[in-house]
This record gives sequence, structure tokens and C-alpha cells, in this order.
Amino acid sequence: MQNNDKNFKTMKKIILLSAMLFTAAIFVSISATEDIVNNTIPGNEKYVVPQDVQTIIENKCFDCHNSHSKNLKGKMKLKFDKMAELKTHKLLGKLDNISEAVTEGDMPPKKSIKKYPDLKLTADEVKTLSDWSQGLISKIAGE
Amino acid sequence: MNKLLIALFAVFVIIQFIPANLPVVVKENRDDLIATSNVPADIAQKLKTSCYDCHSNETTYPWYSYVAPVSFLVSHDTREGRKKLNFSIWNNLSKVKKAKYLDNITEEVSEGEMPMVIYTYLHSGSKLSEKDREEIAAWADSYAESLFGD
Repeated sequence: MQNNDKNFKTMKKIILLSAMLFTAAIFVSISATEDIVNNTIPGNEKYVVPQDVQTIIENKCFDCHNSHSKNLKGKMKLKFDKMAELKTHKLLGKLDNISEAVTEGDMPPKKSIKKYPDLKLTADEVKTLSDWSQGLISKIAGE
Repeated sequence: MNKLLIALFAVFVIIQFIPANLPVVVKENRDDLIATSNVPADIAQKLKTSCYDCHSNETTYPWYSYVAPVSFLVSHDTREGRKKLNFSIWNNLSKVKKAKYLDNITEEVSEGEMPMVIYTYLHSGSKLSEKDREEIAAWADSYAESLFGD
């Protein structure tokens, strides 16, 4: 009987711990996506991400393209949470790469889409992303 | 065993008749990067030996690139390379496009993604040292910065 009671207490602890971990995970993922929200840092008001663009980035790009990403290649090429800190020439380069990659269908990678079909960008999303990056480019570079 | 060898040889002979369509070589390009921009001589030399075979119209095809099936690979890689970045048309590019390519150069070269391993394996002089990589990356970044100057 006493043994049963002990087992019950352990069980309760495990459930509580799991719940805590689960909550923590939610907070971590929220704060990770919040990194993109805080994208206009003082001194660089040029880089603006409207809500519709941000939603697409969060859903389809950010998991690989952030500064804590485990995908090293994705992290090396582009970190959406660090975009606003880039110098003009870097920012322009990245933006033009984004519009090329989504327009040509190179991103998200075919391998990822095979595994997670939801990652595929719709035609509308491609247009939203490329219009956004090209718009920013012309605003920043005047080209 | 003999039959297998004969069959392999027959396949080898037959594929020689499939055209590889190696991309056309043009040696003089008036819009070439090195011809039109102030690229330091040592950087220009490195770009020529390690990048230009695929990333320009000045490709030098070694003898084996005319032999199938290697010719198919060379043809494919050269075509893809020129599509991704072609130094022969550099001067026609907008400043933004240049910034994009220079950003890609900086990252691909400093992370060791380029030149491709199969290329350096077959072209012994094309391998870039750590120092070469740093120099090319630094050049590309400062060139891009000079186009926009913060």
C-alpha cells in the first residue's frame, strides 16, 4: 500500500515535470519567433517586415534560418532574426537572394518539402515574399 | 566476366555518340569582372584558377571532358555554374545583383562550399588555402560595401 502511494507520488511528479517542460517549450518557441517581430532596431529603420510577410517567414523559413538553427547551412546563409543588424550591402544581397530563391522554387528545399509538405510556398506566398524583398531593395538602393 | 567487360565497353562506345553539349567558350568578354573592375592582381589570379572554369565563359576544357560519361558531368556543372554566377557578364549587372553575388561568394568560399570537391580533385592547382579563402571573402565583402557605402 505504502509502495503504491510512493508510485503515485512519483507519477504525479513526472506529470508535473512534463507539463513544466511542455510549457517551457511553448515559451521558448514563442520567444524564438518574437525575434523577428523585433526587427526594426534603432538606426536601421530601413528593414521593415509587414505582418503577412512575417507570418510566411515564421511558418516556412524561420525554423532553419535563425541564429540558433541546427541547420548549419541555412543558418550560415540567412538569419531572419539578425537581418536588421546587417550593413546595407549585406542586407541588399540577402534580400535579392530571398526573392530569387523563392521565385525559382529553390526554397524551401525540395527535401524539406518532401518530409513536411506544408512547407511548400503557395504562389501567393511566393509573390508576397518577392514583392516584399524587391520593394525593400528599391526603397533602400533606389534600383 | 569477359561478356560483362565487352558489354561495358560497348556501352562506353555507344555513349560517345550522345552529344554532351559542352557550353560554348568565349575567351574575350568585354563585360568581364577582371577586365572592368579593379580586382587586385592576386585575387584575380585566384578567381581565374579556382572559379572561372565554371563561373565564366572562359572555360578551359581538359581532354577528359570530351569523353563520355565525364563530358555529361562537365557539361552539366559548367552550365549550372554559369547560370548561378557568370563573371563574364559582370559589368552588365545592377549594383544589387553584384551585392547578391558578392554575398554568396563570401559565404560559399569562406565556408569551403566552393570550389566543388570534384573540381579541386581533378584540378590540383585550384584548391584554395585557408588564407586564400579569407582573402577572397574579405575582397568580396569590401567590394560589395564600396558599392553602397553605409
